[in-house]
Amino acid sequence: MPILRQIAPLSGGILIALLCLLLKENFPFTHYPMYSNFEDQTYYVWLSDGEGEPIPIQNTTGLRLGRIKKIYNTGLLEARELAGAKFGKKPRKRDLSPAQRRAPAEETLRWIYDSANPRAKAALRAAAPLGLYHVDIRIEKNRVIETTPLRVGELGAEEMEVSR
Amino acid sequence: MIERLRKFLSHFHPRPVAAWELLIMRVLFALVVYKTLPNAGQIYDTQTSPNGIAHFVDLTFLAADGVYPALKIAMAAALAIYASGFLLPLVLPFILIAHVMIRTLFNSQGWIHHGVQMVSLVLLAQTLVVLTFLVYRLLKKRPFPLTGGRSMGSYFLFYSQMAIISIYVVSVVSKVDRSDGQWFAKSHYIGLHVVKAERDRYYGKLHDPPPGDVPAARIMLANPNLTRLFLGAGVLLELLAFLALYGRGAALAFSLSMIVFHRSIAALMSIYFHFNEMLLVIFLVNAPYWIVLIFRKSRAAPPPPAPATALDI
Repeated sequence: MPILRQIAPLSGGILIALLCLLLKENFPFTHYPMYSNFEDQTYYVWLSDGEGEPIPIQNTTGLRLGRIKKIYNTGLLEARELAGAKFGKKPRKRDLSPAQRRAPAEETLRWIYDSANPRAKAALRAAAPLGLYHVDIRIEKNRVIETTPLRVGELGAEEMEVSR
Repeated sequence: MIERLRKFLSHFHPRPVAAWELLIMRVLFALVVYKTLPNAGQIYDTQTSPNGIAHFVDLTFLAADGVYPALKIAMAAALAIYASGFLLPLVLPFILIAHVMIRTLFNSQGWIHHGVQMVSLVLLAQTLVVLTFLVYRLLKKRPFPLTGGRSMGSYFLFYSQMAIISIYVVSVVSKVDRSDGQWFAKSHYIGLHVVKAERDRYYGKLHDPPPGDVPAARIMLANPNLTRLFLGAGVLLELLAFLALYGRGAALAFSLSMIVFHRSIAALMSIYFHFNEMLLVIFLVNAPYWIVLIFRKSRAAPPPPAPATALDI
């Protein structure tokens, strides 16, 4: 088949595309899921110092809040699974209770501290206890509505000392 | 009809490429690969959420004393050899495996970074090309048959381009699949994510003005159809990405359009795909080719007519 022979050089690209779609998130393959499904609600997080004032975490540790949210979100998804296994129905992330959000938030704060360099660690200890705030954000009648920031977890100086 | 299709498809083939073009591409790509290596502080000694090969191999050995600095030096040496074009069947598999291990450990911390998959996939495509040529030679006892002025470099470039392009097409399939076909209808919700990006920017650095109204988001939410049109154009570009393989002109047009689209998303949402842009520039824009072409054409052009003199008049 001359047509098939002509398509043959494209087989490499088709193979890579199929592997990406089948293996999804397994490096180096990815199906690029981000922003593949826009929802009318999401959330963001920020960190605070002992006084409850925001701290510029990107300047301090080099970590962008988007990345910190991904760590926290992985924990929330696990909390959903746990709640689903316990109560038979998985709650939506925004319906998780403050108690259910605490462990993912504290794990996130611990990860931030553990992965920081010595200078950043010193700055984080000086700012302790660190707080993680969660803000739900949604669209209502073409307008953006934000909830009051909710302090979902904290990490004290003593807990930093015993961090991994 | 069939004949037309055959003629159209005949363009989607590796085409001759000059050795100096390939040299420039390899040098630039080697620099990009090196740039994607994380600094030592980002080589974690845990893999809490294993990803890819981390499901089967404990990659935390990379965090042991001295391992990563030594590997980084070895990578630099291998990339220098790669850039020179020698020993590709030896150095490319090493670079690929090391790159995948390092970035897999990075991605095994409970979140997935999507910035460098394209780099690894281009390395994979290039490795497969050089190994195919090597295996063919070993098995058939003769070089891989090349016609029409093609070289191994032709395949090297063609499959690198294809690795880049296939990722854009995959991204479209994911949009349709994950949104149950609702992506276009819901795309104006991007306004909400623009606000979120603005908040992330503010709370990350506390440099910008405090959170408040975000005009771009307001305009997007107030004009859903205009927003759908803008984002739809980007998705159409991704969907038709394979047309970039039609020829050098198509590759230039597609890659420049894609870079503009990446820049627009970066401005709106602070989502950066620096390495994707770099690969578009290296393998699809291929500026050195166009510069040389323009230079040669300007030299080959007939000299401009002499200015009129008094005698002519």
